[in-house]
Amino acid sequence: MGSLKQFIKDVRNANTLAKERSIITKESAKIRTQLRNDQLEISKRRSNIQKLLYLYILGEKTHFGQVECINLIASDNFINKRLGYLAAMLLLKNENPDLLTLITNLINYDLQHSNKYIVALALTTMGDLCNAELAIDLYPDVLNILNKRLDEPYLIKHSLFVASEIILKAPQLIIQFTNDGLIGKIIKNYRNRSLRTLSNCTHGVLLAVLQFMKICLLQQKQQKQEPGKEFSEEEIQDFDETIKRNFTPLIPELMEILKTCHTNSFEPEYDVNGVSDPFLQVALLQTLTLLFSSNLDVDVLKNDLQYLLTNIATTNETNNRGFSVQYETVKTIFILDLDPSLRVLGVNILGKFLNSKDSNNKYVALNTLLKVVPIEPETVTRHKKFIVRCLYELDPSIKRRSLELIFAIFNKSNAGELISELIKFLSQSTESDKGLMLYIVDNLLDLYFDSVNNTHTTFLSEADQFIMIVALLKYCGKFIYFDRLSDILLIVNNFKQTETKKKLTVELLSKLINKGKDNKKEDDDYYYYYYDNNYGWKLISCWCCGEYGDLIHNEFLDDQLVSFLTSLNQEFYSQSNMHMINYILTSCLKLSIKIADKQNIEKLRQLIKSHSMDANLILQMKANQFLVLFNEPAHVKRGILDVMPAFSKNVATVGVKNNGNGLSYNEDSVSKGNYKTFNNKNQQTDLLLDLLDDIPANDTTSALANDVSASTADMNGISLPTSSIELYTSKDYCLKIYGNITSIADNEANLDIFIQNTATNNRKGTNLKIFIAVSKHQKVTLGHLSDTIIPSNNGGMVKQKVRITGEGKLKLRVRLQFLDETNNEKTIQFDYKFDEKL
Amino acid sequence: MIDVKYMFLLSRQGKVRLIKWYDVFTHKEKQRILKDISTLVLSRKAKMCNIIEYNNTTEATTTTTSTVATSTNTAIAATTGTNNSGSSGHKVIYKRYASLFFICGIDENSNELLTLEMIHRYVETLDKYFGNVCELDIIFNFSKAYYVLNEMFGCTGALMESSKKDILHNISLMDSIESSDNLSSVLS
Repeated sequence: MGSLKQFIKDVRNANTLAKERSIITKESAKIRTQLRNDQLEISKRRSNIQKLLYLYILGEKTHFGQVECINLIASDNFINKRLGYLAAMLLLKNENPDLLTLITNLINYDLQHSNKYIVALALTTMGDLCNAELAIDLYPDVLNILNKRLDEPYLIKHSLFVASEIILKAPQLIIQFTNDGLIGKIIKNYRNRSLRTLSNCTHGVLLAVLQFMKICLLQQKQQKQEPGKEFSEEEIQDFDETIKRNFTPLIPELMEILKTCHTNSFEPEYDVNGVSDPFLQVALLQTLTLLFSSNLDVDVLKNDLQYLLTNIATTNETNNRGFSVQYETVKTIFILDLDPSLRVLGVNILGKFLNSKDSNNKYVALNTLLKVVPIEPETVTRHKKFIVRCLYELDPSIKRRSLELIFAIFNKSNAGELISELIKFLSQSTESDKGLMLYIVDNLLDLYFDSVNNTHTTFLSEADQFIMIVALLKYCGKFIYFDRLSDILLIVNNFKQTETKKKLTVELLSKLINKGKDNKKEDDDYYYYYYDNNYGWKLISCWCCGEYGDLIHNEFLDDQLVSFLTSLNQEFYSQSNMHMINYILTSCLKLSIKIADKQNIEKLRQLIKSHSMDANLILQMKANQFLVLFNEPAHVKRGILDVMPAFSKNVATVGVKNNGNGLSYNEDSVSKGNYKTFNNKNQQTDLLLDLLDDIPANDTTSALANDVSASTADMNGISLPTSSIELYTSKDYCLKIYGNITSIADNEANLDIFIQNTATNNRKGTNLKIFIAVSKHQKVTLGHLSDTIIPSNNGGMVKQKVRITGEGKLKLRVRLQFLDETNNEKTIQFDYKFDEKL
Repeated sequence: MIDVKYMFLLSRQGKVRLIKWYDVFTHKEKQRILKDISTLVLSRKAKMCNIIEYNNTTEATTTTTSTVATSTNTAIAATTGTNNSGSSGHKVIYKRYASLFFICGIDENSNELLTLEMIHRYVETLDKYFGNVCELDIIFNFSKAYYVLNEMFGCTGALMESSKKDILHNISLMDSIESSDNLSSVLS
């Protein structure tokens, strides 16, 4: 068996993956057999362990070598111990706790060794492998080192780190470690020393002390948040008391250290680009932040801290280094909610970050500004120029953040300016930015609806709205979801001035009707790029054509409008896009009363008639109903086909906009906006919306049906549509799960899943979570879940909206997770195959 | 509470050269993190920033074949999201030095810029220790790279020593004990 070097070389030289595998398995097997040999030479054992470590790095199985590490540690030679401990801390981490009991004695023994390096090795390993039992067993030894070997900085720093780990695993030991002013003693000892003799002592001890204090304070905070979970009230109060007594007196000392460290002149050992030990400075800032935020009655000292922070912030304000320290300073300022002048200073520092060349600085600045906006909106807004500039960074996460920030600083006075900046960005975006584009669409629309809902007027002027809609459709029309398109229709419909409606209709239609008028090559390219596949643009044009056909007499001939609808019909019928055809039918009917020419009216009638035998039942029904209407006398028609009234949108989902940081990369936030549930009480608007939304007729009918048979309707307003199918019944939990397909078009299906609890003994499920998986060729987006509690006794239903895109059979795997009455987690999983196909 | 949750070194071919876990992860989580982060980091372009937001659940939707989307009530997500520190979302800081990526997983609230400087410190220290370090040095002497790492970072994943000189001094002392051990074993 060769050496480690040979093994590594062999693995590296393997030219295929299979070869590499065979080398590795062979070597593993060899090591296994050798490990059984008790008489093996110690050098061979070492080489085996080294190979095992290499296997560990490669991600291979190494469990068979775990005991062997312990054999090496037991050896007296340093070389064996060093390797043995290294192997133990890597191979045994989070492994079998029984093995740890084997190692406990060895560590215990080595902690009392005279050689400080052996003690340190034992300490490091202990820290790495620490669990609650190990912590309780060995903490006296660690404490012993801290007390007795105070003169050896190397050991003190290692022990303090182990102490932190001990407190993470066994928080009750906080008291043992912090009592008697131990920490204060250490700080004092090393501060004086570091002032006098720099030779022997480093910042290591201070870093370790700070780490220890940080962990203590964090533990204290966490225990306080969950009282009664692990410790009783008194115990927690005890922690508080000890920490307060021992840590509060250290604050001035720590501030003093920070001050000296900050103003210190050049020290090559700790220098990072001209800043003296940023690691220590940041650790100090973090610890001070925790100390000040954990209610230690230290308000007297707050002024000193503010003074110190102002000093740090201003001395660094002009130079471009020590970004990490400045960043931490800003964080401290906002976590502790300090003086307004400091907050302004903090925001300005972040502004400077935005202007720097380094993209990392931009990222952290945007990220922090997002958190700061609610506190200092005006100051952040001042930096909008730089924020907008970040849109053009290469990094998608920076782009995303700056967009989020732009929407966060949106207000009445800068709306126009920001919208034009966003449009400029959209005009330069490509398909690869689709996610961001949709994000802009969603947020601009939400902005409109939010402001309308809150104040009944929007701060976007009608001119802005017009510009916004044209730009959104032009650049993003290809990607916008149906629901968002109907939102845009809503805005158009609610325009107060007829002039704007007309302007928009002309703008939209002229691009489609006048194409190829002057056959210039570049115009053609432009057309194909922006309008040819632009579904959104076409859909809105189609709707406007029907709705406002009477306003645009001067701009277009009746011929043009009718042939526009006809060609649109041909285009989308061949694509069998039923959604669009629905709109075309409505437009035809509406246009028929707005034009005078008999021939053209007849053409419209023929168009509708062509669908009267359609294979699609909904279309067929609609076409036939429209034909009946078509033949009604003019005044009846006029009444029915009158201009739509302005109506508002009921936004039922809460917190769509305000989840600042929840704006994740997946399309979740997008879909959240899409599923707005409408309140059934508002039947009038609801029906109108349904017409507009063009959710196929069965939805409206089922809604009506439910009104009649109110028996299935339940308390939280969720009712089971008559068309729903039972997907699954769970006898154990008395749950019935129903599914209802609300719409199905090519490549997209929307369905609702209902969960009903038929248990009669008050057994309700809480904390409900639904997971849904679909086949490979499809993608599922989960919308709004109406509730996380499943009420018992048929007391109501939970509804989950689901959207599936892709192709193939509609097959679901559904998993429900919830807590039953005894707070045990229960899981139900089942598969269901629908007859429908995408 | 743990600043650096893990650290690993990745070659440009996606091979792990050194790895250390500071926070507690299950075997499955470890594999998933390694797989996801490796692909993420290797696909980054040069001008992008060195910070990646990594979220286990969102990654799952893009990487696994059958897509699973979770939906929880927003209020619940807010309360459960905070105490699940180990495996849920965290940030990944990476930096490329020659052919190696140095990658750290850090807590949401940690200082990203400082982590970059920590990585740089480690590289500088390795450089001084090996004398113009290259990937091969680390491949063949991974245990030495671990020794340096353990002197520099404490078991809670925070920086333990900011002085390069001190680290190298201690390591070289330990190395000399090791070689004298070796010598004595040969002589006896």
